[in-house]
Amino acid sequence: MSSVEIAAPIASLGYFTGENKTFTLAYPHTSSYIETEFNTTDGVNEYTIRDEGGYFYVLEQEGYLEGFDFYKEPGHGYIGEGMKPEFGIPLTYHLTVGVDQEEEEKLTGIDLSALKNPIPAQLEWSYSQYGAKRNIPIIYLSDSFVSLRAETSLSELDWGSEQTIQLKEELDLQDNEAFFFSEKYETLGDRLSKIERLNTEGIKIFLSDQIKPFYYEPFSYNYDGTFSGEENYSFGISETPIFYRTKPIDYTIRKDQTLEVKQIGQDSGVPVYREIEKQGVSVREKREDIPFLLYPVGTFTTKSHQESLAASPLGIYQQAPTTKLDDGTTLHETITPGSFISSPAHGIVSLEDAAYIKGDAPIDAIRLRVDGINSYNEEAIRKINDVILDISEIGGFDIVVVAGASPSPVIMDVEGVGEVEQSWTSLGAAATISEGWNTTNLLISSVFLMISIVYIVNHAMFRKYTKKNETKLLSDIGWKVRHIKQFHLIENYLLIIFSGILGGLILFILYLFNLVSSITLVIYLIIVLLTFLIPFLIIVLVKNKLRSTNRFNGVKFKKVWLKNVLFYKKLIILCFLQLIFVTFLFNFVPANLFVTNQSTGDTNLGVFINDLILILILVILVATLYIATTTIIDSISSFLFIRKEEILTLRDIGWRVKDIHNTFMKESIAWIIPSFIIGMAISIIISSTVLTFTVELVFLSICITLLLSIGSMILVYNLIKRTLKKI
Amino acid sequence: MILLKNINVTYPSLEKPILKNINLHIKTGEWVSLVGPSGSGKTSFLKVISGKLDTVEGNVIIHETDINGLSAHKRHEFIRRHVSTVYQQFRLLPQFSVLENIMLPLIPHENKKRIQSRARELIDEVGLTHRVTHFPHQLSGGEQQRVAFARALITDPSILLCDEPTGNLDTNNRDIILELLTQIHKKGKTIILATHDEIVAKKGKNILTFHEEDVHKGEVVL
Repeated sequence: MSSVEIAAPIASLGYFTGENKTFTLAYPHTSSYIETEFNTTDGVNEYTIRDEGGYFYVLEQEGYLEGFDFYKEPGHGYIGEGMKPEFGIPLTYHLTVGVDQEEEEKLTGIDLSALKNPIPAQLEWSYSQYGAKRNIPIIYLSDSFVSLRAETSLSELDWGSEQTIQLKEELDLQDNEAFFFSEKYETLGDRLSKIERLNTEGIKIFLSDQIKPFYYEPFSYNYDGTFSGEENYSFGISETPIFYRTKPIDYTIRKDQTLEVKQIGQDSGVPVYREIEKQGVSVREKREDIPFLLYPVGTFTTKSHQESLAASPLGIYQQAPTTKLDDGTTLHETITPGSFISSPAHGIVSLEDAAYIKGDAPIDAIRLRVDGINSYNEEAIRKINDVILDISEIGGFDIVVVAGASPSPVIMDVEGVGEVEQSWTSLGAAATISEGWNTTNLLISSVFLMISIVYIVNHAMFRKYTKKNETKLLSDIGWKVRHIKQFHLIENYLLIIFSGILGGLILFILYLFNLVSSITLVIYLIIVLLTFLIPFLIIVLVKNKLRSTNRFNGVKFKKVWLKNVLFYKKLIILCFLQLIFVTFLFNFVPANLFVTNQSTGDTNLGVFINDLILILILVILVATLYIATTTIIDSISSFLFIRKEEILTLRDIGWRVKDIHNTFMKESIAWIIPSFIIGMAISIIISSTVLTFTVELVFLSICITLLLSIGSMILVYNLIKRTLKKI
Repeated sequence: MILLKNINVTYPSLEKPILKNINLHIKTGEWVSLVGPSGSGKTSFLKVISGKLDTVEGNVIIHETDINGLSAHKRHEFIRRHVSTVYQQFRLLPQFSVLENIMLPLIPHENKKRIQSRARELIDEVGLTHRVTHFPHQLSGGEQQRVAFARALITDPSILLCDEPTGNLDTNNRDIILELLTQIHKKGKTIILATHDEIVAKKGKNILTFHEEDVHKGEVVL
């Protein structure tokens, strides 16, 4: 398939343990009791990790090694002469995947070259005794976060050097013999627990920055908050053949579309929310037939690629935070597998090694990048579809188009944690938006064009009627009809030329700034030329007869205002049409925005694109509002002007201004409100057809129409009042 | 009864007053004809009585009420009840039938059924029973003017002002209108009629002649 630029396979292996490792505390100044336990946190709750930590007695003894001998809680790891207070760090688990290094680098831009680093010879030699069948190099995420903290309590003991020597004598030990040489060492804890503790200090030691997946750099804590390198430590990669496969979380979808996540158990005191299945063997448990050992050979980072990986397939590098819904606290995975938070890949091995670990059919997915796609457009869609067809012909693949995918927030109610918002990779947001807006833009543009044409026709019609007296005057002074028409045509053409030049100038400036394309200028020129036709058609072809009295005969309406509406329907019909279009736009555009936002606005890409389009929508809405306002002002003013004689007559025969005002208000309501309602109905019907019918959409339309109606009525009320005053 | 005391009327656009120092008493039920050349102040005189001018100085007392001292609203209400005007141009509204045009002055104020019955009586009186549902454009000039008279009478005014009511009519129609006016006058209405037509003017018991020079001198006397 020549159109495929990159094909990057991926094999998900599961959660692998890091190495066995310890951390060391510096010697205190006096005899002390040091107790340490380890906590992991998901950002909300802290969990004490069971069976880890322990206690350590440091007892002064002048002249003995570093001046101290010690007693370490039995069963908590290695002990050796002269060792500092040292505690085993709980095992941490890290999601590991197998990739094709070159293809993956091309696809993501992440530097994975460390995968080619050789296994350190010293390390390999150290573990050669186990005879592992395969030594697998692994690189780890250098900026990963490991949620681990040590809680240490340091108690000064009422104990001196003489008492240490005296105790050794009691244990039949020489002064230079360590306590652990005593046969009674295991019971020594009871004896030492009776020592008076003078004061106790609690110390929280954050280990997140010190611990890296699959790699250990020995360190020591110095009580003042700093760390330093350490030579005394325990370390081993013997647990690396153990790993856990996790099953997807069994989400319950609630009626409000949020997800419910139940805790299904515990692992070392830490809640587990998904099923985990232990795989592999521990070297400590099985000294032979070790299938493999993981050797850290380097690091990789995704920090600088977070933006470009916004649409990262399968979300394996995603580090978008999970947050608590009520207070925005950032949550993270605990150190055990089975967290409700999806972890990014912390470890990467080669595809070949992954195949060795996984066995048959190791590849979970192959991510393709189609050649020659620079933007999301029609051509890109065609190319992607071609590739889909090609792959379909091969068969055996589930194909998912992730073009336009981006993290999408999902709300989950996690047992024991509360409601959280987590980013999930959603697919094809751009396609939805693009398709949606293509249809919408076509519809909006068409309706807007129609509004503009009707506006010009309507305006020209009103000008023609309001100039009736002038026409009569010119006729009275001897002008021929032809001359009068020419005169009015020239007048109209001057207006079009002036506004055409002004509009063209603005467009040209926009063109110079690359804000519009050259085709826009051509279209504008065509529209201006077409506009010249409108006054010609109206002045030359439309008869000057405003009132359709013949057809009006026999129509019996009891209401004065209703008779007036019908009588002046020729004038009203265009305004009526125009307001239907305007209301349609006013309802349809926000409805479309609302529905598109609902379906795509929950993705970052969707929000981004919708924000961009929002500006265009605002421009259209403002222009539509301007046209609506101008239509109403123009039509009502011209209407009143044309009917000036009628108004004067009504006043002369005894109507109060209030009566005339009321009649004109009723007339206006009689055609403006129905036009709004019809526009709204058309919008709801089209929105339901093109988009999706929802109660919210209808409610939104009703609200918009109501606002439009109230605004219009206020405008009309004041307009009539002001005009009647002038008359 | 109409009593005008020291009436002066000046239009802002004119340097000289159109009416100056007019004192006049018109008794109830009189028929006064106003004659004189165009621009001599006949229409302005009618406007003074119909309360349509805001620039009137002096007292315009109609039925013992000085309408010049009333607020615009009260003056409008008073005139509506007591004074009606008929114009040369008929001024019928084309969208309404004969019946509706006649009913029009009372539509905002009274019950429609009552107005309709009154309007039908007036249609009979002006001899247009067969034209009830017709529209103005279907009527002759004389018929239109008769509708205008009926419309003026629907409010049952005590004073009827007529501004050249026969100006647009042929002699036949003029005679019909004069006959109609005579009938109206017989019912006790005060008629003040401005006209250029000598025959029409002579129908009035009193003729008030407007001369431009008289106006300037302020010597218009009944």
